[in-house]
Amino acid sequence: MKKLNQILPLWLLALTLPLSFIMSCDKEEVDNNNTIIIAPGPNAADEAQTAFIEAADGSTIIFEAGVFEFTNTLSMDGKNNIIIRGAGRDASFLDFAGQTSGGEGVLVTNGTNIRFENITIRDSEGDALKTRNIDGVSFVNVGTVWSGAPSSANGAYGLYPVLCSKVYIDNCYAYGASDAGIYVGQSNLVIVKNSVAEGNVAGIEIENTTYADVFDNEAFDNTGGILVFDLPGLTQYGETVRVFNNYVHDNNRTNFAPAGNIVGNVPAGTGFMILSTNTVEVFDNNFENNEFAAILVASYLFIDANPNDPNYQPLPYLISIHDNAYASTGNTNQDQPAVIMDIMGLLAANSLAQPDILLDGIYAAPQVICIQEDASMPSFANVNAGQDMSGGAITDDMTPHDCQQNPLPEVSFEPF
Amino acid sequence: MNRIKYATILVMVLLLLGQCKKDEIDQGAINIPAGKGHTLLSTYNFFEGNVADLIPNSEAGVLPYDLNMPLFSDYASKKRFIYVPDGVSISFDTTGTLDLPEGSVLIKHFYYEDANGVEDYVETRLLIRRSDGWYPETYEWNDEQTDATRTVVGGARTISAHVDGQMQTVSYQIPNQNQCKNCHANNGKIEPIGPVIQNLNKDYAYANGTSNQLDRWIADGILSSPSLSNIPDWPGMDHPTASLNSKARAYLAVNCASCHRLEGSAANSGFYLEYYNTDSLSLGFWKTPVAAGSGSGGLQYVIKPGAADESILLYRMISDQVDERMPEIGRSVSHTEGIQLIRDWINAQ
Repeated sequence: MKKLNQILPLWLLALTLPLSFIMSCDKEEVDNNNTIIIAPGPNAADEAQTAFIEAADGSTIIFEAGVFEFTNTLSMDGKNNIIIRGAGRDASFLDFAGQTSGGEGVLVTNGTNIRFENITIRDSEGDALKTRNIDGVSFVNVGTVWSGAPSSANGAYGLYPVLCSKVYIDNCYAYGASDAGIYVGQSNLVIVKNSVAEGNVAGIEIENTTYADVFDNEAFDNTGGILVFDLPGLTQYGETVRVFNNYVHDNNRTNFAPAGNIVGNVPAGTGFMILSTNTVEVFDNNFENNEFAAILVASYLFIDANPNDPNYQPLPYLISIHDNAYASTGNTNQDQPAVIMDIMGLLAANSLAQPDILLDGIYAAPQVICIQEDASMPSFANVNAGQDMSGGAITDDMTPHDCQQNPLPEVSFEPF
Repeated sequence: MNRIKYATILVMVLLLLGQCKKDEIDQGAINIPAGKGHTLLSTYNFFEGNVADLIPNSEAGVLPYDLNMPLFSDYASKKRFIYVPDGVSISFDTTGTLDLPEGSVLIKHFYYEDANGVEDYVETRLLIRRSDGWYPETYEWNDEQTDATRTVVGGARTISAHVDGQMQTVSYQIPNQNQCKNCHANNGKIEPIGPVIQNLNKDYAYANGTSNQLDRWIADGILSSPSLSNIPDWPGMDHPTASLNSKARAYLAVNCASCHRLEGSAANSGFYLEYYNTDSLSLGFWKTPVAAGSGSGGLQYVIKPGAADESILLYRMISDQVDERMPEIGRSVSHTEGIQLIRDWINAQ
């Protein structure tokens, strides 16, 4: 018996030693469980960043309920089929109030099929949640928020997919962005729906983007509710955007974008604005109390006479506006840049109220903008700056725009 | 019988131990792991003797090098080394970053000096060229300054250092692996920034004498011979005769263009600063900002020719705000000399 006792430890040694050497040879164990759970705590930021770097394709990264404090951008690169999930938009907060480094709160780049859900990113120094070069990116029940009253010191963009395709934004919430709350730029195939944008300069902005459907959203208390813009000098131009069934109301907030940004030119009181883009259909929206204009169609040339981009088409065309509802009180925000005040003064001087639909009139021909609003009979004004930059040709005659365009196709793709 | 078993076990254990230690037996050879980086910098054998002495393992082919126009990173001093395996060489190419062969490593060591010239090592970064591309590894020096340990998430360090002629506090950020790629990106793949012929074309004081770096690399067989006779170079900040334009463009190319180009992380800005870009709009002239936010500084144009103080480019070089400063990462204090150079250049347009 005693002999056996002496031998036994040797066998244990034989079994355990090689194992322990194997382990020490390769400390990084392969984790076959593809779910990584991050709990709040002092090490949570490092754990989250490690997970964002080391997660295998196909992983789910879960943030439990609570507040997660970061001092640096939380970033992911080159991943595929990743779900980042919180315990709820009002339960899991990635908090960047103490951020000392990095241009974004969360940054995800160069991947396919990335999904954020049930989580809020708040108080980032720069943009809140940026995704770049992702094919298939979904944001479901995601919030981007800057605490307190909206301020020009807040970051520019809330949800910020750029150079992406198959962008799916559903049931999200954006508050306080000093540029756009929900911004989709230089992307293709986009759905933005069921979301709320409040207290931003631009509530929802689609820029240099093709094939976007924006519907069933609510945009209120922004400077401008929903914008579709095309700007010069970028990687692509936009077209084919449908904006329908949205509730766009009370967007009268004084523009608080840092000067120099294009969005700083949006008049306070704008429901929906088109800038220099084409093939846009705006229909079945409910515009209430956007006191500068429910719908504004303008050219980049009104802001900058020389876009310097030979391939850029600054004149809007193939714009179709139909079957929207309009209401306003006429109580327009007077805290506006000089050029906006000039337009307001011009309208008043011509005994025109602030209209529901306002055109700057810089286009190739009136019928590039078709308006069919027989049921709601919106008020209308055309500054006709294309004919007379001083506003001498201003008119409230909408009949030149009595034309129809073919409905645009539905945007359809399988979201991740 | 028991004795035999015992011996067998011992042999098994030793064999396993041997496998594990095999890499470390050959003391002189460069030791690059197949997977993730070693835990300690010293394990690679890039340096002879005490790793903290940073004496390149010249026997194995590790060479120090320098650049005409370095990237500014918070006034950190840097030492650079290159390792190219025996028997392979880099093609001579002046059109972009050199394409180093598999097995090559670029080593960049970051440190500060105090008022007495005592060096404080912060981090040493590696770019390792594998068959399928470049992989970054970052090593953070320990408090004893005896070796550096691999870090994936990086971290912040507050450093008091003698920079720009005075003692300053620098909020130094050791990058995480994703942040490496933020700058070292080319169409979504990692790529080095520094090793460009134009930036390498300069003399270096090697242990056995001074010679042009390209000549030395060619002589050592790590760089193929050029077909051109007139090899271009970029000027350094204090080049005595180079034009203001070439200095400024080299500065912008090195400090900005790794992101600010169509293939880089800032492609969406439409603002591209490669040395050879001649398109005035994408160079920023009269270009309105796209997604600058408060980074616009209230200014209308990225570059307003003749008016540096009305140009967003200069504003973002000067700003120390997290959401405004450029480069976005790797800078917490501003670069006085770089700002002066770009100010002069914009004003001269």
